[in-house]
Amino acid sequence: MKPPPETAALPRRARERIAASLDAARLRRADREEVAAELVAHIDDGLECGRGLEDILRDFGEARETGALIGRSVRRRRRARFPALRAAKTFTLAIAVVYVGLFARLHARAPERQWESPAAAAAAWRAAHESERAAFETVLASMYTEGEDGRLTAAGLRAFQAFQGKNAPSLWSIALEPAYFPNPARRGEARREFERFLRLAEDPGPAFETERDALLADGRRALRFVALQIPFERLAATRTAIRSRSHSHSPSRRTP
Amino acid sequence: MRRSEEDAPSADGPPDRRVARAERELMRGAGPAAVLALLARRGEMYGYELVAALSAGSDGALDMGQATLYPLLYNLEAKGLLKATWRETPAGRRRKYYALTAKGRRRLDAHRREWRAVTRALTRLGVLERVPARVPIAP
Repeated sequence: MKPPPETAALPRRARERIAASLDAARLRRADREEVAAELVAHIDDGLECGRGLEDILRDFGEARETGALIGRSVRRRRRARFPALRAAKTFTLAIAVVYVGLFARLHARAPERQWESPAAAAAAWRAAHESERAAFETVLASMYTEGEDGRLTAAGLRAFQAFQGKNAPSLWSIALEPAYFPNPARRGEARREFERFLRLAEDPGPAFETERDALLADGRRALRFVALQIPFERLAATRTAIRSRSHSHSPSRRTP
Repeated sequence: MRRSEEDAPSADGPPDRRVARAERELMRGAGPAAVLALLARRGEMYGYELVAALSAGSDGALDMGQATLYPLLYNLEAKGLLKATWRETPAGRRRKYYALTAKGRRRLDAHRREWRAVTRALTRLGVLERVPARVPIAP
C-alpha cells in the first residue's frame, strides 16, 4: 500500500485513502499515475474552495469499492482507446481456445486397438492380411476411435509416423499436430474413400495412380485422409504385380 | 448519490457482483445525462467543478463523491462521449478537463428525448405535478 508520488504534498490520511483505492483498482502503472493525479487534483480543488479534508474524504466512499469501480472503468477506457489491440487479443485468445480444443480432441481418446508401441502398430500394418480390406481395417482400428463416427487419435498419428520410419517425433511436431489435422476425416469417411481407391485399383487403367497422385498433391486432402497413405503403397505393389503377370500372359508375348 | 463510509453498501452478495451492480446503477440513472448536459452548456469542466455544479444545480439531489463521479467520467470517456485533456492551472497545478464529443452531443439529445418521455408519462400518471406551459422568465 505504497502511496503514489503524486500524493506527496497531501496530508497522510488523504494519501492513504488514495493509495488504498488505487490498490483496489489494480491498474497498470501509467493508468494508476493518471488516476492518482486526478484524485489529488480533486482534493486540492476541494481544499482550495475552503472545504475541510475530512469532508472531502467522506465523499471518497469505501476505498475497496471505489477502487474496484475506478479500476473497471479505467480498464474499459483503455480497451476503447486501443481497439486494434483489443481485437488482436480477442483473436489470439479465440485461436488459442480453438487450438487447445483441437489438441484435446486428438489426445483425449485412445484408438479402438491399442499396441504396446507405435512401432508394433506399424509392423502389424506391414504384415500379411487375408485381404486389402482387412489390412485397412487394422489401420483404421489402430488410428481411430471406435465406430463409423470414430475420430483420429494422437496414438494413431504416432503409429503413422512409426510406419514412415519416425519413431521419436519431436515435441514441436506433436504440438503442431492440431494445425496439420484441424478437420481429419471420420473413420467412416476414410473407409468409403478407401473403398473408392480399392475399386480404382482393380481397374487396369491409370485412374488409380491419377487419383492417388491428385490426393497426395492436395496437402489439405492428404492430411484429411492421412490413413489412406498406408494402403497406397500396398495397392500400388499389387497393381504392379498384376500388370507384370498380365504382360507375361498376354498373347503377343507368347511364342508361336 | 453521495456515498460515504457511514452508508457503505451492505454486504449483500459477493463484492464483485456488488461492484458490477453499483456500476450499472451509476450508468443508468440521471448522472450521465446530467454530466453531459453540464458539459454541453459550459464547454469543458474538471472533476471537482462538475461535482460542485451538479450539487448546486440539483439542490443536492445529484451529489456525487469521487467514487461515483470518476468511474462515471471514465465510462463516458470509454464510450467516446467525452474527451479529456490535462492542463495547468494558473497556480501551476495540473487538472484534467472534460469536454463533450460529437457522439456525446448526440447521446445527450437521446437522453433528453428519453427524459422528456419519462417526465410526460409520470405527469400523466400524477406522479409529477403538471408544469405550466409557459414559465415566466425573470427580468
